[in-house]
Formats: sequence, C-alpha cells, structure tokens
Amino acid sequence: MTEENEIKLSRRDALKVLGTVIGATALTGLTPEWTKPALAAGELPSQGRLSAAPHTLSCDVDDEDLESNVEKAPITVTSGVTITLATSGILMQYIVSFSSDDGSIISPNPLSGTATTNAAGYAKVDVEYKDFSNGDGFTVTWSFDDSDDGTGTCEQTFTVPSHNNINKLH
Amino acid sequence: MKLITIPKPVEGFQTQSLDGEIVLLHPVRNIIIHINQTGALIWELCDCKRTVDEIIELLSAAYPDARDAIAEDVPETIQTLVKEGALKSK
Amino acid sequence: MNNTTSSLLVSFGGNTLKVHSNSPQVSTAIQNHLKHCHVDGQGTNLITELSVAVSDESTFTISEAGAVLFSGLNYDLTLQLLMTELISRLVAACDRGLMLHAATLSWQGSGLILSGQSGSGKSSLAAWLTADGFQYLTDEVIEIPLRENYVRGFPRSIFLKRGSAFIWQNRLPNKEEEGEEERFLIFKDGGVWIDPQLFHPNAVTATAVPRTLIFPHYQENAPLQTQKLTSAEALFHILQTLVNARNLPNHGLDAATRFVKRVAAYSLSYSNPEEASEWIKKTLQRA
Repeated sequence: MTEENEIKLSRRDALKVLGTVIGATALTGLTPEWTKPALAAGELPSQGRLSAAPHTLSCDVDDEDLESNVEKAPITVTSGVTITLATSGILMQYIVSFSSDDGSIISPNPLSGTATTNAAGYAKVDVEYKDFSNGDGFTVTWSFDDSDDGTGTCEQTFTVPSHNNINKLH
Repeated sequence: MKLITIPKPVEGFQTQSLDGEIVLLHPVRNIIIHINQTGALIWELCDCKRTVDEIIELLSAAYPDARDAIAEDVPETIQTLVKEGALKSK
Repeated sequence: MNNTTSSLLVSFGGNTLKVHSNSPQVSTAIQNHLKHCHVDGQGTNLITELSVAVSDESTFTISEAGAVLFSGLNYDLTLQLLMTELISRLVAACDRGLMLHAATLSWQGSGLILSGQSGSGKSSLAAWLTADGFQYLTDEVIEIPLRENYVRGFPRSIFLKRGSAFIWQNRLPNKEEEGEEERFLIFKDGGVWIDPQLFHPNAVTATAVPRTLIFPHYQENAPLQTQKLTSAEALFHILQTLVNARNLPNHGLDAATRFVKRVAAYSLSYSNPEEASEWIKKTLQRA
C-alpha cells in the first residue's frame, strides 16, 4: 500500500463501496474492528452415510521366513493386512519392531505409519532390510488408525530361520 | 499470490450469508466452507473485477487502524480459498 | 430360503423397507430392537427388500433384490450390518425433509439434538441423558420435515460400542448377568444394543420441537469445554451431517439455514458424560 493510494480512498468512500458489495443492511452489522479472517472447510457426507458397521482385521500370515542377507544388497518383504468387510479407504496403522538387536531396516522410515486399504480391504507396507542373520527378525503390528473403523490388532513376525546358511552368497 | 492477480469465485458454489458470515456449499464436489465476517468481506470483494491489491486498498481504507494486518491477511485468505477450491486466479 | 422365513416392515422418512429372514434368531433380534420404530408401512413407499439367509448354524448372507450384498457373516456382524444397511437405504430415499446424522432427546417437549459423525460420542450422551430421565428419539438419525417445526427420530435401540461400556455398567448394573437379550443384546466385540425403556418406562417419544443443537466431541481425558456457535457455524457443522442433500431443493441449504436460525447451537468437548450431562441440563433450563 503506497502513500499515494491511501490518499485516493477515504474511509467514507471505502464503506460506500463495501455497502454496494455486501448490501447496506450487512454493512450496519459489520464488525467495528478488523479481526483475523478465519475459514473452516468440511465435506458434505455421501448420500445415506451414517455410522458404519465395525471392521475386523487379519494379517497375511502369522509368521514368515526371511532371507539372510549378511553379504548381499537389501531385500524387500511385504507385510499386509486384510479387513472384513472389505472396504477401501480405511487407514491402517503399522508399527515395525525389531525382535533382535542385529540388522537394520532401511524402510519404512520411520518404523511406524499408516497404509490405506484398497477395494479388497487390503493394505500393505514394504519392509526393506539388510544385515539380518540367523534368528534375527522383526514384527509388524497392524491396527485400525481410527478405532471407530474397527477393533483388533494382528502381528506378522519375520525371522531368519536358524538353519539358514549365513555365509551363502547370492 | 501476486498483488495484481484478480481472484475469481469457482462456479457451482451455493452461498448462504448469515449475520455477515458466509457458508459456501459445492454439492458436486462435496465442499462446505465457513468464513467469518472479515473473511466474508474478502470473499465478497473477489468479484472478478478487483486485484488483490485493490481489495487490500479498499479494506485498509475501511479499517485504517489495521493496515498492516490487512496487507497480510488478504493474500493469505485468498490463498486459502484457492487451496480449498473456492477461488481461482484470473 | 425355507418356509420359516419371516418378514418385517420398517418405515422412516416416508419410506418403507421390508426385511426377510429365515433365521429366527436374526428375526427376533431385529424385531426386538426396532420395536419402537414405525413398522406398519402404511402411506409410505416400499423402496426395497433386504433378505437374511442362514446357510448353516452360523453363516449368514444379506441380499437385496436377489443380489448378494454380504456373505460369510457371523451373527453379530449380520445384525450390525443389517441395521446399518436398512437405515442407510431409508435415509438415502427421503426427499421430504432434512435427514441429519444425530442423536436426539426430549426434555419436557424441548428437543435436544446431538449432531456429529461416528465417534463423536452422541450415542454415549444419549444413553446417559436417557438414564437421567430424558425421552429418547434416536441415537442415529433424525428427520426434520421441510415445512414443519418438529423433529422425528429413528428410535432403534441405543447402540453403545465397547469403549462406552462403562455407561451401561454404571447405569444398568448387573444387566450383563441378567441375560435379557430381547432388551439388552451384547455383542462379542463388547458393543451392546439397549432398549431405551430399560432406563425408564416412558423413555421413548416420537417427536420433539428442536430448541438446542449441540455438536459433541468426545476426547479422552479432555476437560469440559463449550462454545456458543453462530448460526453460520451451526450451518457449517450441520451440513456435514446432512445425509440426503441430493434429494432436496437447493441441496437442503435453505432448509438447514431455517433450522439453525430456530435453535441455540453449541460445541461441546468432553470426556466425562456425567459432567457433560450436567452442563446440558443447565443449558436447557436457561434456554
């Protein structure tokens, strides 16, 4: 705003213009002091959408073997969860926790986050790991991000089998 | 947001004014927006004719004690209305 | 479906839906927990028919007009889905009034509307207030006819999720042991359907004149916080619970505006239903 502009428009003229835009009646109800503009946005709900029946969940499989990879590039495994009834767009929370001190997980980073179900009610997270050896592993725990969507948790444990030959090069 | 931009309301919104505040409803895109009194003034002034600078000028003249705040608040509010899908830049 | 199939008519908002079931267990539960709803079907449109079939002792299928909607269901999920689906269809078909996702109670003829999406705590407050002597219209959906000044509720049994078990444990002690399934049905996940008349004999009423509109927000450990809302703020919130906008002139905007001008509106954050109920009662007395 320049000094020149300020001179151009008086308060009286400004209110006159505002009156033509918002109407004379509205002008009389105008707030005397300027307050911070505030805006909130929401959504019109889908037709007929009320409280949904709760979902339950189950992991892909309880346990799964990992490949030992002491001397090879990182490997990716997938942990998944399926909800019943199958519904898309439900946010599922995963937490990856180590069951041993060795090895490292490259992704997901951070080790907890959310994944969204597809139309089949399936959500997944890819876990990229390296340097795990015999007996090492990790667990992925799944739950509903919003407890109103459903109840329960499930765990999928990934472990390098003890019979795995850790010196085997791929 | 450039000050010479002319903000324009997105078509398809139904508007309801209540005691100087405004509720916007876009039934096709399922958007509902509530704007308080000062925000409603900015919305009303986005009429395809005025630039952001002209809106600041007009409101600063109406509220001379709040010139600095208005110079910040107008572009910020218009930006938010663009982000929420209620305004577009001409 | 075998010859033991029974049928039930459920009406709301000017429409009727027919439910068939060959499972006596499902038929009885649905009849018991919809018994306060209008079920004569007279003067309304039959919009669809839902069928429940039990294929063995414990596996259920829900179909609509011959097409399978859900299969492989257990008993609990069958009841909950059937309730959800039938209300959803009745609501989606209504074009004679605003259909709002809300619990509603009446206190000496004055309507208290608790509006909000799933998880806002409206059913919990509705149960608590019913136990305190309020009359119950619904915990799920109301109709506000376009040219009338009253609200009508869908008076199914109150549905409390597992997280709200402390309410019935507090207000209906020993109910779990009494095993009165026709009025108190407990699901395996800890949710319950409660006939409101268990709280007091005159607990159910069909209509009320809306006076107070509250948008509750349950938050664990939150202190009680209330705020008077402007009409525009109330309109903004109420539109987010309007579940039949597409059937209405101007998408219900004009009718919803008329409605919010008639009521005093508040937001309410709470964690303790007793504390929230006390504030509500004081607010109603002042109104």
